[in-house]
Amino acid sequence: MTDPLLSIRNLAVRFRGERGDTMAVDGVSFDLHAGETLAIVGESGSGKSVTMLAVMGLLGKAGVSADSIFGCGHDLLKASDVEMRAIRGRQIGMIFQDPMTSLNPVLTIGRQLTEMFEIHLGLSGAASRKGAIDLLKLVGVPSAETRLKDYPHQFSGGMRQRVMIAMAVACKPQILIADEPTTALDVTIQAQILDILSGLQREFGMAMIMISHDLGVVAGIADRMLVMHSGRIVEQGLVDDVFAAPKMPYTRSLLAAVPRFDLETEMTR
Amino acid sequence: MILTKKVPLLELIDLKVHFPVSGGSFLNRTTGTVRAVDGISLRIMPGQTLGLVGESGCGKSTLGRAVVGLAKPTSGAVVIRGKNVDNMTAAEKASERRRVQMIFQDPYASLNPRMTIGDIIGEPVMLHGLRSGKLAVQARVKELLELVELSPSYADRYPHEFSGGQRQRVGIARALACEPDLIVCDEPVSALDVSIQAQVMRLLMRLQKDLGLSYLFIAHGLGVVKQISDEIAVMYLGKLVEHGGRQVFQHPRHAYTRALVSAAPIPDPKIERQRRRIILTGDLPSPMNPPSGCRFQTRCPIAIDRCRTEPPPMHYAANNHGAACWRTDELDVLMPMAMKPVPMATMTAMPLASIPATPQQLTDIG
Repeated sequence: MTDPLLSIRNLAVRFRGERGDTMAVDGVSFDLHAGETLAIVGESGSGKSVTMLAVMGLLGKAGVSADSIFGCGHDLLKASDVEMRAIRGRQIGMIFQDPMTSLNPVLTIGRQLTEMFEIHLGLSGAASRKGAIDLLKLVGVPSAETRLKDYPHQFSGGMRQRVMIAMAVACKPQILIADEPTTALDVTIQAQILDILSGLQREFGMAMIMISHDLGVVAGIADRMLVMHSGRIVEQGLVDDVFAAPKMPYTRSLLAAVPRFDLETEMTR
Repeated sequence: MILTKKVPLLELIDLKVHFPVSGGSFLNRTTGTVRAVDGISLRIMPGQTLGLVGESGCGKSTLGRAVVGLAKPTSGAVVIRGKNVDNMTAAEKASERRRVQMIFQDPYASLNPRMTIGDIIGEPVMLHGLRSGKLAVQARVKELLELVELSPSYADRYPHEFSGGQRQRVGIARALACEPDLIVCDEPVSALDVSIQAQVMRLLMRLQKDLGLSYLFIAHGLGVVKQISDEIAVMYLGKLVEHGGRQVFQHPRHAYTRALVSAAPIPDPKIERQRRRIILTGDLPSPMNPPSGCRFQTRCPIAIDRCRTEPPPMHYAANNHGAACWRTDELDVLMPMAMKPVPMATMTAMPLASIPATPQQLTDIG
């Protein structure tokens, strides 16, 4: 097997608090290979989002420790803030759960999209504008040319998430990190967004890390999965194996807790 | 109390809840109307659960709020135990309303942070005069806490000391304090983690069995609705599109329900890979300016001319499974529910009107 795109060894994140420290992430190690989709699954507070924020250098240096973090050929542990800023967006794209709070409300969609091209790829105004229009078309935003002038509040939740995806893939990153990208959306819109994500992944050959609490979404999109609980990885494996035969009691209880609408079985009371 | 089986606990007759929208100019005139609930008829029998599903903005929460009296119906009737709420005297209203309670989605926003758990649960007991005397109220509060599987010692604590799941139990205890017959549950578990969801669902089902409650269970998650409901109703843009028993998800008779069911993820990778997924184009249209004819026609992959001009009526089949769709009888051919993968061209790029009504138009992801 070729070298992994992202390789994390023994990551720990400690949050300082009045009543002592909290280990939000505790000894997490995993690899991400080119082209694959890895899901990180867990309930709120399990450390799944904090893991990826720490890897992206978005938590600062304090409290974050690891034996090693290598991503896209860089030593992310040693990278300076300036270097990290160049890697984020260019080589590793990110999508967050809530598109309204992740987009700048006082800038037009067009400005926010063209900024990606100007900063990371050094393109001119006209070229960036063309790139922005192409991107919006790619993620299925209708009448892209005119919508560039609109502000985030003029977009629906699903359309905003498309814009977020467009920004994240603008520079054709090698890794796309999607943190609960469809949690705030309705199911029919969720299906559209997941469809776009897998289409883009195929087209650009991106590897994807999907952070989700929704086991249904994970079952549909991921190749491999990690199950996190209290800051640790409690189980990992191919999606088929973990769903078919979960080894850990926690994973088993998590799977059993999801009510199925497609089966006639009743949950045990 | 004992009810004869024939009188529904709750009946909604052609219920409409419209909200005027004002703004634009400085005169602040009414510029439009949001038709949140637009002519819905439903009934709930004692001890039964009606599950109401739909996407955000379809009007399901407004319907729930109209049932408990938090939203004023524009027209139509809310009938509780055979009596129209509009025709009740103030005293009747107070006592009948007590029998219809509500549990809210957000367990953080729905409890007063400055009241103790004991006061939150004890207040309705006192207000409705269900117990007299401080000691009797306190004893009732402890009983109610035990009923929702919380320690009676929690009565002196404040909401911020509890987790989301525990707070939702407090919300349930507060609803039960009024000794209701019907509880409107508005997305009661969607803010909770799956394992906590399962616990709260089990509690709701146990309480129903022990106390003989009825639920109007409003949620967007098909799994939880299926789990608890005797009957299922599906809403789209203020209208009821489908209504029936639990077969609604097994064999939907409306194009929208088929799309909804096919889009809902199933936690099984093998099934997910083989499913035929119908991906709808576009967003929910504005409820201020709903489409003509069938409200779903703008996103429906099999809409025909008739769907654009004539609103389809609710038509019930012999098994009491109703749907408001002109193409109900053709759905098995046009939008089959089979799990077998069928390679199909994507329809996303094509305008709806130009597509012939064949199975090839449906998007399939393998």
